[in-house]
Amino acid sequence: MFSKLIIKNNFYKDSITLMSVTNKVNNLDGVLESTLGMGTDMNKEIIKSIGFSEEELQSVKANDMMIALKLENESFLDKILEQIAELFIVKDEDNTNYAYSNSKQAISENKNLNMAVISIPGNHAYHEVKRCLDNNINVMLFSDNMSIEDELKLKQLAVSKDLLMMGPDCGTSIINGIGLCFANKVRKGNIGIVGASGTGIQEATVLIDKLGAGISHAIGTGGRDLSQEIGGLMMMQGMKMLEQDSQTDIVLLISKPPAKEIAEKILDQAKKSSKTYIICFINGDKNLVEEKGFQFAMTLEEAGFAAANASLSKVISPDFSQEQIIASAVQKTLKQGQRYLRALYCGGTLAAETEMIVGKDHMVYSNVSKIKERKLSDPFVSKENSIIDLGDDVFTQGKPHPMIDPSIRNSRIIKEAQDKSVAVMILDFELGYGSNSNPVGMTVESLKKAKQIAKDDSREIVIICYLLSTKGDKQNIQEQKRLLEDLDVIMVNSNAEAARIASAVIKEL
Amino acid sequence: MNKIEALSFDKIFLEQYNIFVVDSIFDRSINLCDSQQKLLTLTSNKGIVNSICLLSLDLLKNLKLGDAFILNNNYLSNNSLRICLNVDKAQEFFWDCSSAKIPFFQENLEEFFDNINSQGILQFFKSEKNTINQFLFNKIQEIDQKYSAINSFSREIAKLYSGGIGSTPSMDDMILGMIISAKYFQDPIDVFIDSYQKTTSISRNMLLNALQNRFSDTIRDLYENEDPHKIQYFTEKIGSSSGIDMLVGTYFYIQKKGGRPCLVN
Repeated sequence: MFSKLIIKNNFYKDSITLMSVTNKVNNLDGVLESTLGMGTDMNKEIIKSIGFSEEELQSVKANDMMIALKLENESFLDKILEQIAELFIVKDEDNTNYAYSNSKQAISENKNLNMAVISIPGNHAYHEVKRCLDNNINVMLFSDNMSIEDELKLKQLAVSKDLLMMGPDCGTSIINGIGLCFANKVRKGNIGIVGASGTGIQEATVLIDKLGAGISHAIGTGGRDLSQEIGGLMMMQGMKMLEQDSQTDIVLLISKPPAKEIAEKILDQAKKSSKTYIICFINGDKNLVEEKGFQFAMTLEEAGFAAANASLSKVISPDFSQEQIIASAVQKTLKQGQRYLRALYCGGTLAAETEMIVGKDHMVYSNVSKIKERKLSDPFVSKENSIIDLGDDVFTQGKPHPMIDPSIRNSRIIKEAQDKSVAVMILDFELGYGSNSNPVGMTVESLKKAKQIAKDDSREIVIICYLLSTKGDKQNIQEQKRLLEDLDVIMVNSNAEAARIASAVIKEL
Repeated sequence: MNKIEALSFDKIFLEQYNIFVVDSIFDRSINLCDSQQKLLTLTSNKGIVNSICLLSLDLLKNLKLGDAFILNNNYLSNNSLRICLNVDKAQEFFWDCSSAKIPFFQENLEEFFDNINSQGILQFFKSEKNTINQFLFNKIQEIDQKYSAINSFSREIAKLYSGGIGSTPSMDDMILGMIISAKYFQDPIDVFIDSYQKTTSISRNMLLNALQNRFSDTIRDLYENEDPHKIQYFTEKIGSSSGIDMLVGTYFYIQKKGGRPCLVN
């Protein structure tokens, strides 16, 4: 047997990390026994009791970490030291996955569960969600197709137990820095978000990250939460939890405009808060929010900047200076008759934001519009300026969401390119957890073909692309950018910027 | 030089001159110590004793162990950063533990332990043992069997100060839970005063504060609660296993004070 005591000066780790590392070290080849702990007097006594000498322990101080190893022989030492170093480094990304056949089994074997992500057909989800809530487990329900009555019952149960029931149809949350479903890797910070919109949360968190601020938690509520029937139950529960969260100083609420009565209820709760609130009701009632004394953000971009400014105590605004220059430059490449925008979105809230921005100056049609006159009667056929959410149920029946498989957009890109009246296209690409590993790569060939179709017809189409991503996202953002740059498209910093440039391009055509 | 204002800070740092050196760096906090090993924690969390709370730690990301700060005239400064301690943001942390909900804990802690993560001292009772945990478990068992009076039990447990693997060793957290209970019952706490100096600097400061009736907000929130969900919430907010270990200490104290053994099996 070979014994070795390793001392790491001023090296602190919490007990759970140390216990986890100890268990892993004990399973390494050649290890007979290992003990990791801080070099306190009592721990030194214990290490001494298993055969380490007073002399070895003499220089160890309370703030040092001791790694006491008993190995089969000395030849294992170097390899094991390397492995221990790796165990400390990779700890943050270490996930252990177990497969269970049902939630009952998972719950009974894991007493410490406190969050469940449920993604099963919505009409079967009620009992799974209820079981989790009954066992004090917060739920993120990715599934849609749950009745509003069931949603209300489950949310009432969650609120009564001080739990979250995020969903149904909740696509994005970030809890304690962990992205659930579709989310980006953003820095941690003091901005908490509660949002009834998946890509809305993604866009805001990404912009906040780019501006140098960070997120404490981002709680999704599901798109119907602010309806009259549900009454904003989960938005208010999320606000309550963020109120109790010492990491959160600023709270950003994101939603399409709720009914006035619900909006007032939410604003009244915010009024009682000790935190700084920023309200982003996209295309909502600015006066209502400002009368209650809160900062209002009309767009996700405004929301991101407002929250980051509050967090960083700065005043930074989006740079609009180049937008008109770009628009004027590309306008010159268009032929007579090219007049319309076709925005083909994977992210539903981004589509809604574009509808609002472009709709200020132009007549637009969209499958996500809440305005009767703007509603696109057939989402498969564009009309004049059309903004399409390709994640809508009509496009995804039996197919993955376009953020998972963006190829469902490809045929539509070709179809729009064949329309001689098309001047501009907007395309979004969401990177991050849950999204396709190479969304641009899956679209490149269609974009090349679209450009070729236009070229063969002596036209050019202005293509504006937005990569919703952070530097930390798992996909290689530089490679994704390079693929787009090679196609000579306009790349923008936010969805709002894409919408403003597109709006400027089609103006006066 | 960047100039920022602290969001809040422990009142003890007002009107002081001192030099602090970076002692340890965590994701959400940076601990500085003076020559007497007194602690100053820079953190983005509010309500922590011995701390200065900042909106963000981003400006401190390049700090290294051993870097120095000077506290002078209500400013904490190094060569690139000046943190203003505005007197309006000073926080007092006094709590004498009399409002702790010890009777509620007495009724509910056993059930609570059944439902919470098996971390910290609770791991002593499970199969996940290492040499340190195994030794401490045997010691606690031995003391439990041998000493029935609360005073002698506490004195023997206090000899295990600094035992445990984390940055605030589990025994220290457990003893903190016992101190809170002793203060609630207005029992003498002199048995706990002897040996706290020998542990890690973070832990030593936590214990010293407790002996002086100074507690972080989350500890007070935990002990003043009767809502099981909130108790669980605050327990999990205190360190990685410190909250659980404190409650184990409270449970042991209550059991022993009631003349019952701490460990049944």
